[in-house]
Amino acid sequence: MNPFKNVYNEWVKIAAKPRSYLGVGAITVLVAVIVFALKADGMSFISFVTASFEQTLTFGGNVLNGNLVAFIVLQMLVIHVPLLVALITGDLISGESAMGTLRLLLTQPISRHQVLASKYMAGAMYTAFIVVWLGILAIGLGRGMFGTGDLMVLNSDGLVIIPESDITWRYVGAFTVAFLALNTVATLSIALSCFSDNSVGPIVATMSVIILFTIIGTLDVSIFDSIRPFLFTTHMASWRSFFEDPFPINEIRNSVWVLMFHHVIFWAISFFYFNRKDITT
Amino acid sequence: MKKVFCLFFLHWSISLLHAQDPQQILNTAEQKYARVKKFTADVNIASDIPAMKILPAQANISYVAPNQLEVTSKSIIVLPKQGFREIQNIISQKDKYTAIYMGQEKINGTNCHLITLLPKSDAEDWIMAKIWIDAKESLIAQSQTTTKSSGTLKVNYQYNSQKQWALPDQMWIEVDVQKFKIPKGVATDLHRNRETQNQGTVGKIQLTFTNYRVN
Repeated sequence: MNPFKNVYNEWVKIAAKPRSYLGVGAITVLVAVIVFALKADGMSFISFVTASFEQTLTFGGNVLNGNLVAFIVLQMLVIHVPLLVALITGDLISGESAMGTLRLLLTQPISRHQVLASKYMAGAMYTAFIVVWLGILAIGLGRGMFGTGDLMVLNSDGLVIIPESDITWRYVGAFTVAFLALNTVATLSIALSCFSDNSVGPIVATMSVIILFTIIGTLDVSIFDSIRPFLFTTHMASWRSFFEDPFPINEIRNSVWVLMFHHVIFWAISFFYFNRKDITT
Repeated sequence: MKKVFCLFFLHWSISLLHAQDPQQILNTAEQKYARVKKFTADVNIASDIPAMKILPAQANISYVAPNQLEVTSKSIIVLPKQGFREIQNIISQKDKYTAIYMGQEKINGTNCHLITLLPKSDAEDWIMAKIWIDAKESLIAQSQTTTKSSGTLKVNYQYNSQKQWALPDQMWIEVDVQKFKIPKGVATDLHRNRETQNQGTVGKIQLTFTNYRVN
């Protein structure tokens, strides 16, 4: 059987679920709200960021531009998008198991590996769609309403101002890493989905893991120092590194490796379990 | 003979003091740039601010007397809050300060009169201003303004093509900068354990003016 046909079938199943559009709708509404709020009172938001300098310095030029708006949108939404992704991908296997269609699917002349791989592919496609949609809205709407200009970014060392000509490739890189991070969440939720026979369990479990790892990552307790670099949640914000100067290539490479390692672990667990999953009871 | 010499010395000293009337020196300097009713110029702004990474940017400056100054740029630019013609504004308000002649000092190898200005009213934002005026050309070579709200601003001037209008070709500005603090609740990068660079407290801004169009 054509493996792409399986992926297509899975994609059709995702597209047929009304909840798949919940994420797209939520992102659209949230981006619109953020852009509207920045249009109404964006300069006070900037003053909040530049407060350390504003006693003696003033900033000129088009500070509040589409590139900054896109960055703010990304920063605000990337935290919440994992929920929207897990809402779909956490249901890919457990949902079918709950409805009883998994048994039917696995009786077809297609290996369990292929079924799972096609679900992973479809999940990755959905994640990519969400990321691209977020990018189109954030950058397109931002630049359309605020124009373009240099990007002012706040990081722990201070302010970095990136020239306009140096921004596009950074966004492409940032969205690619953001996709990798979100796909790690998708992979986790599909892996958890293999263990469950209802839809809600894997979604809640995925969010619980993210919350737990995030808390461990943000707690400044030395006992967590050794494990923090290996948590995928620590690297979910690595898209921001594309907007640092000097460009931290080694740190980005490290984040990519950690995220890829999680992919492999979750794939391995899910393939191992799914092959042995009892579908008769 | 001794008495005659003392009298002569006293007379010479008084005449010298009279010659170094600080207001007179300020007036001469002011006359030079007061002839400028308006100007536009291109300016390259290179900033070296602690805790800030910014590349040099090109901007356009337009000035209309007495104190309407506008800087426009497509890039993000950083300028001192006091502006860079603040000292000229202070000098022009003669009834609001007391000028004290402090002697002569060399600035970049040039003999300069050092004049200190003190505001007559406590309501002024500036506390003290020091001005070094080129003794030969009557141009402001250096200024240092201390304010209540924005700390100290030190400006060095270099004149060349527009010397006759007292418009500098280059300005080096030093401005006090507070130690950078990340605002609470703002998410930053994930490399938070990375060593933070030792931050200074003086920001430097270099302005290079070209394509002056005066009056």
